[in-house]
Amino acid sequence: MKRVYKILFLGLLLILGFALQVYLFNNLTIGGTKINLLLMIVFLVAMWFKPNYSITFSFIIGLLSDLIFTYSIGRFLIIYLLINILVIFLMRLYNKENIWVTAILSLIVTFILELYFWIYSIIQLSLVQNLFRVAIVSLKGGLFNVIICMLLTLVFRKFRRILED
Amino acid sequence: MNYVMSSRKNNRKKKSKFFQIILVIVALILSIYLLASINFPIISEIAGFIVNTTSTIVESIRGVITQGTDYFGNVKNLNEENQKLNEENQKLKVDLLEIDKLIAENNELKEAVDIDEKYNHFNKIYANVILREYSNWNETFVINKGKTSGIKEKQTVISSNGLVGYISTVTENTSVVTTILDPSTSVSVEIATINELALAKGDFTLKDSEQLKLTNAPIDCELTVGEKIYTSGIGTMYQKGILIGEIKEVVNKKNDIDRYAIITPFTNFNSLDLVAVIVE
Repeated sequence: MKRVYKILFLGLLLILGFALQVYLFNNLTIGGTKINLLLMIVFLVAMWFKPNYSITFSFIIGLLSDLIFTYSIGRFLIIYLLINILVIFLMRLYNKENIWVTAILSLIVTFILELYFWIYSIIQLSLVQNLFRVAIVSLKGGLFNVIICMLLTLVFRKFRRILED
Repeated sequence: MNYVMSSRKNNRKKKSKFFQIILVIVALILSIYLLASINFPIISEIAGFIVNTTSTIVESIRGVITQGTDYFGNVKNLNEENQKLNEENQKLKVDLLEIDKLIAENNELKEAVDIDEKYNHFNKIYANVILREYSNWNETFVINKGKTSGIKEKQTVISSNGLVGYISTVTENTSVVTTILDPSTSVSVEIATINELALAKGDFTLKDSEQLKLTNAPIDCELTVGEKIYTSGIGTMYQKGILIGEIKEVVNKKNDIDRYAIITPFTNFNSLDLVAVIVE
């Protein structure tokens, strides 16, 4: 029964995440930076769920992001899976209950994502850009992502009984 | 027995006292009314004051009672009226939603007419923006028209305010538009008054403020703020004469070759809803 609840929770998170990202956050730029809700969802699912659930979830969310936003496969899929694996590894070292761990890790994953796009723009588009920009974009976007992450953490804590085995 | 007798006597005494009090009150009221009618200024004033005050109190009490009875009497009517008003309110809400929809449609049509007036020499297909990408490194969006509507890759996309970008990917029913703000794009442009050619490029740092970089302008040409920039038509992507924006700032460097200008496009990329794809 708990498995069904977990799948339902993840399904709801997926639908709500995409709906909010498409209709709200994609049209909302704060200081030229967009809030990446889907990244924060992937990050928190990796923190709170068992690897088999979180990796499947990241795979689906990455694939859908690729198909919906980029019309190709791989760009989001790879980075979401990589972030998921990294978070799974880090959760063996740190405690997910610590709010500071969540905040700092959400900043780190934002930085990794922006760094990935920086490398992607060099390889795919042959556009070399100062690495300093990665730091600026990560900081600007990261701050908003941390706020979103904290709000989502409250939701995850509320549903703790379902999420934990 | 004695106790019963004494209680009866007490009752009689109480009754007679009660009647006495009533008689005194009636006598007082009568005398006040009588005094009020006699022409003794001070007495009549006092009496008049007392009469006025009592009548005001009585009137207000009567008013309150009448209002109360009216209120309770009207509750049923009010309920019915409330129901009718609620129904009317619902209808009005639906009407309002329809009006909002019509306003949106009207705005879209206005935009389409605006585009048509400005670029009537092009054969166009109108499309709505349905999705925007959320990466901070690219500037693309998806429109709701694709191959079935006759859209092909590398076709120019415009809005009523000027150039938007080009079609980078096409599927059966949707297409991806890469805007001129995207760092991977560059447009061959013409500086309006001096007829000089240059390049307008998307830039990572200027992208956030929706601006472009104007480079490769001839060294001897003078770039001035407020100068309008149009597409030159050179290359296969963009048609000639589409307005892009105006020069906002000229950045001079030690070396003349390195100087550049910042262009502010007239198109507001964040609020784009309707665009036209030039298919001819």
